[in-house]
Amino acid sequence: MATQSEAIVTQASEPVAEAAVTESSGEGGADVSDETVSAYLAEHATEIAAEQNKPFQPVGGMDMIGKAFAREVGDLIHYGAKVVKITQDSGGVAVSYVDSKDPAAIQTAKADWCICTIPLSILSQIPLTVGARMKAAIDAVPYASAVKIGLQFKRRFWEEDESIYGGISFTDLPIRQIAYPSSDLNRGGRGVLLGAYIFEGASAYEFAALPPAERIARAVDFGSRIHPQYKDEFENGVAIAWHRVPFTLGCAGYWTDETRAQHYDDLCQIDGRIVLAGEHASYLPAWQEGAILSSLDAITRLHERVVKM
Amino acid sequence: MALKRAARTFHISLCTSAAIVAAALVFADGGALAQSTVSAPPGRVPSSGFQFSETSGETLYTNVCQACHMPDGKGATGAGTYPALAGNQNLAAARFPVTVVLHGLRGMPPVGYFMTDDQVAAVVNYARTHFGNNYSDAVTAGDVKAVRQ
Repeated sequence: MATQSEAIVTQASEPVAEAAVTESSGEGGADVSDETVSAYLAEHATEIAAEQNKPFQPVGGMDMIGKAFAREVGDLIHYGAKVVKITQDSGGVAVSYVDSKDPAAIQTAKADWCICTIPLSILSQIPLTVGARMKAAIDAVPYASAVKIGLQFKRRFWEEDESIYGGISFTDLPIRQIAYPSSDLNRGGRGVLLGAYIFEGASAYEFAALPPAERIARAVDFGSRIHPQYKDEFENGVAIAWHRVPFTLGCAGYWTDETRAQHYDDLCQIDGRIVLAGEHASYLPAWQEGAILSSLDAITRLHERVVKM
Repeated sequence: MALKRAARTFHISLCTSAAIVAAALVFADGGALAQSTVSAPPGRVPSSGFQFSETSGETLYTNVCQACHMPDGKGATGAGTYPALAGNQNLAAARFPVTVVLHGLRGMPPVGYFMTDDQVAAVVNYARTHFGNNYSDAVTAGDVKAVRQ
């Protein structure tokens, strides 16, 4: 097992790192000073992070997964289409949509089958020819609030000053957590933190209601109480509040034990020629993994249905 | 209760695969932590806890509701629509907005979960007396409590 260390931030004016070396590093078990620990962490940052950073992360971030899909099947994607109606009968499915830039002209796409991944926050407002139980399920799922704020700094002070390589600081401040990048360790120069990641609870809504510049100012202020270096090193930031994103109207489907029991199976059924998929039709809400597993499951069941017809 | 359990599960599943090398728990005891040398930015301060700290209908609307329903109460439309509260006839029966705030409605989350009965009453009364609405039958915390069951 790799050498592990725990950095415990005490309520002092400067963070104090106490390292517990659980496996002998070969130095004969001598006392280790803070400087030695810091130097060790700096030197072995990449392997420590690689050792403990499971699963792997796409180079360039999670966004690369969606971009890879666009690269592979992009010629099939019709961008900027706002669906306004979905109807089906024994012969097929018709999806009516408008170009979001020119909503006057309604166009129609027809096919034998439809796999619909529209978030339920929006799908619940679209006229849809499905049975009552699926419609009730679509209408039963509220969308959770989430906010993320990225902050750019002139230097990676969390590595240079604190020996923090990747990982998360959890806090009861309204920002809830600060996450440190696990790539380009010790690169030097600018770095970007996730300066807030808030889901549900009061501040997830309150940050969404703030103007973007105020969200960032607030995240810098709160974060500076954990890392005083913020004030000198902060350069700029970006904030996303999922309820303010027009094509999703919320972060993810918010299921309870009751609604899972009452509606989840109904949501996932093949209704005539229509089947739903997405993170909301999975047991991993808000995760790409849930969306992908849901899609594989929906396609598998649809294929069986089609083959048996 | 079920909502709280789901919230805990939701939290854990979002963090499970996070790379935790150095996990630091920091508690916001301002006196003991390093003090920032610059004063806090002006404007609205988000609540520290899970519950909303605002008390008046106006601050609740401004700090929470208007993110979706907009400052003028006219709602907004993207791929779907946040309904307007301005001139919305569904507000005529007070119990309806109380129910929506407490229990949600389709995509709208049950934000009343993070509010006391008094806060729900305050924000519903605010919506029903602003944005061109002028309903005089105010709801009380007791009315909210009856719907929350």
